[in-house]
Amino acid sequence: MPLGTCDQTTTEQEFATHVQCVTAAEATEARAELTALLRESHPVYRERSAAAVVRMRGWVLLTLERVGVTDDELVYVLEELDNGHDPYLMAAAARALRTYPTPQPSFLPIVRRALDTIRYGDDEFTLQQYSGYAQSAQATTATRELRATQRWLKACTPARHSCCESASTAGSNADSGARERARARHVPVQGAFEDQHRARVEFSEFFRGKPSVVVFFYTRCDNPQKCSLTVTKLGRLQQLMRDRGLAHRIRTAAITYDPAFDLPHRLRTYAQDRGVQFEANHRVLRATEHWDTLCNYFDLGVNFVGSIVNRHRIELFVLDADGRIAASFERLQWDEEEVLAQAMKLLPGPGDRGGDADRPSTGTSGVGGSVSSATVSTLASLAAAFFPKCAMCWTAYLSVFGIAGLERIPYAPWLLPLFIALMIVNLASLWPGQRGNVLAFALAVAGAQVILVLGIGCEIPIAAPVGLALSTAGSFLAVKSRLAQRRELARQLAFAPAGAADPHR
Amino acid sequence: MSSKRARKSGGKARTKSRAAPARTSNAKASTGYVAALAATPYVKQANELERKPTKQSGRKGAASRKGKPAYGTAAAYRQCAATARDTSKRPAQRISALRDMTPGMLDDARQFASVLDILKNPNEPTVVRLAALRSLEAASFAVNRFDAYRNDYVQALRSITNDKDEEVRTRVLGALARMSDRPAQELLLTGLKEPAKALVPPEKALQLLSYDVHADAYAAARDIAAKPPTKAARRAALRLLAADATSAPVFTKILKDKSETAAIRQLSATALHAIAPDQLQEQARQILLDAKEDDQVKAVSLTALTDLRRADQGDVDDRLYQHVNRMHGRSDSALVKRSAKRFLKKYKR
Repeated sequence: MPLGTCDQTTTEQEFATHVQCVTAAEATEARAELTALLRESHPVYRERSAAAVVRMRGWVLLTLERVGVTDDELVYVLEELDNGHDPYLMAAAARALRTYPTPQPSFLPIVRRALDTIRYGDDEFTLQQYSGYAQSAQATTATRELRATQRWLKACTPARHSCCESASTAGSNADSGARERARARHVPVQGAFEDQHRARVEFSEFFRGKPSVVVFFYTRCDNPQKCSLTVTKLGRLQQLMRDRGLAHRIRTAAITYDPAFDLPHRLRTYAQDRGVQFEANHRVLRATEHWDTLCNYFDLGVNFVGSIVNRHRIELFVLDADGRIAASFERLQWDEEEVLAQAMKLLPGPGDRGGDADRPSTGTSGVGGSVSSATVSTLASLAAAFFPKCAMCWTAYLSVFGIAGLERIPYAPWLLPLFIALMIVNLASLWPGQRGNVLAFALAVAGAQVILVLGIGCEIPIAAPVGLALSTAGSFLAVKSRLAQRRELARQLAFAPAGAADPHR
Repeated sequence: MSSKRARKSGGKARTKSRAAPARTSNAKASTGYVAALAATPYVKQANELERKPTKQSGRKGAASRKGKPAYGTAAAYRQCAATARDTSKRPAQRISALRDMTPGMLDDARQFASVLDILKNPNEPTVVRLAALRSLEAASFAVNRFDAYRNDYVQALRSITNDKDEEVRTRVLGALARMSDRPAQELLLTGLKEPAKALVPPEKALQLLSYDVHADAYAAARDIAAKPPTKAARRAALRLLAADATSAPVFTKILKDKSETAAIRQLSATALHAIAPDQLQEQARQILLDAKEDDQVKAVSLTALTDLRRADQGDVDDRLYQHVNRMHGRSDSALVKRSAKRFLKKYKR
């Protein structure tokens, strides 16, 4: 019986026998079938208990130890060490890793993390036999195996090879084939969700119009390295997006694997406790209909016994504005900065007025267009600088022109205190604060003093136009500086580099 | 405080001060699990043994004023370990020594091993073995220091899961189940599927399996709920299924069924609230509109509608309100009257 035919009707004993029969000299097909058994969604794990899944996966990992781990299986081995919490699987993965042909220094942090994780939950096993909890002289522990792997890695040559990057990049590249398949699939139009506040939303409604980051989790997950950490990191990602002004441009969603149990109040509490904030663009969802469609679309790495999840992987998807999968982070821990960078790539550029980066740009292109655009922009800036845009501007104009032309008005003594008051309001509006233009404020103050002291006080004729010129220059500079600040802010929001350091982190 | 007093006043006073909490807990434990625990013969025996002031302990207290090592020192722990090991000593003395040596047990591997030996030894009195288990469980709270002994401890517990003494077996399986120990869970599941191999009664096995949602006990619980060997087993199975979202129809059926006891229907209402709260609201309404319903179930339904109804579900309908209003005036049950009063106050027209 080939491994490919194993399904939920296969007994554990049969499974163990078939897997054990795979040898190092086996054809590529048998090898691929063995690797396929490491996928959580494989039919052989359907309706098995979590304990049975651990035993079966552990046996596959131990078979890999026998036949040698290749690049295809490496990510599954590293995943177990990176996010696992079962000592049996960790011990098997640690053993299997030692058969990888090129020990990489980049594996060391993962092994160290595994040692920290398993420290207070270790156990003894006999890895020579299926489901080896038996006590014997050959017993080993996950810690013992991990330490052996650590020694093996430390003994490896420090020189880095091209394949050294595999550990760090495996997460995003782990299942590129599945991603490509998902791209080809039609975006589900039938998926219906209920969010943490019981509001109903359709897949096509929520995941269209803006790029989205989607994670999967369930509240009863007992592995602190998976769902709990994923949702906590989603909260941090949201914070990062708020800090960069992207919270309204990129959506986030956490979808539960266990919609029957994870009712809205549970979703709300679970996510809130982990720092997730809820807005129209940021929701925690449970599928109310067409779960299978959703499962197939994302090619989810999960399996169930009844309604309970028996095994799942870490998975995060970045969707474009049409709801298509643009990138995925699977199995290994993902980095918030990296995810945000992926999502920002999908944001529309400055010339793109549409919501999709794939759409042809509708902006003007070519040199001539650029020059005319710059000229128009400059004239617009000048017009914007001089055009009174608010009550404060009108006050300023009135104060400057009014007080300068006061002499020409036949006789209106009540206007003098009014214009002085308006001038003070103008000065207050130009107050530089922390980021304003100090020179502009200084010029306006100087202009006011010239008009009031020299012009009105000493009655020097030239004082009025000089004061007017100084005040105008001050107002012009202030407006120009504010426009420049706004443009800079808009530019930062649109093109903030992914690696830009966050002062809060 | 009590340990300070004990240090000052010697052995007799110490025996008395230790016995006091046991009496208090017995007095308070009038209902529930605590009462059931206190009623077990072994706990009773242990409490009595500890309470009984012995001539020996008095004499020893007087004698040890001069030569006894100070409390909390390595010498004191060694002395306690020697007393705990000494089979010629009275069980009360050994239990007391096991309790006293807990803080220092992890400083000396030999002392730890000796406590494990006591636990594993089937020839030791049950009360002493249980005291050894309690002492080990207390020591395991010092996670960092216990780390070095953890494997030995787990292996020792696993080795006595089939102990001939039922009390030891149950306590040991309980300790392992709290650690979500896979082999222990497998033993419990096997016992549920094949009663001949059961190490503990089914209700206990279900209770221990309920500690871990991934223990895969739902299928077995469903079978037991459908074909219960005892009433207690059925209750335990239903409690376990209260976390299984697919079991909502089972609980709806039980809640509707007037031939079921009020306690079981109440349990079903609680389960429905956890897994299908909207269904509970609907069922509660129907129960209240049925004049022939049990008073206790009516009270539960009123509580569900008063306290567990979501704000977005709005007010109750007029028909129900008028019905509850009449019920408040006519019912003989104080419980129903009280619940109805709260309901009417909340949904006042």
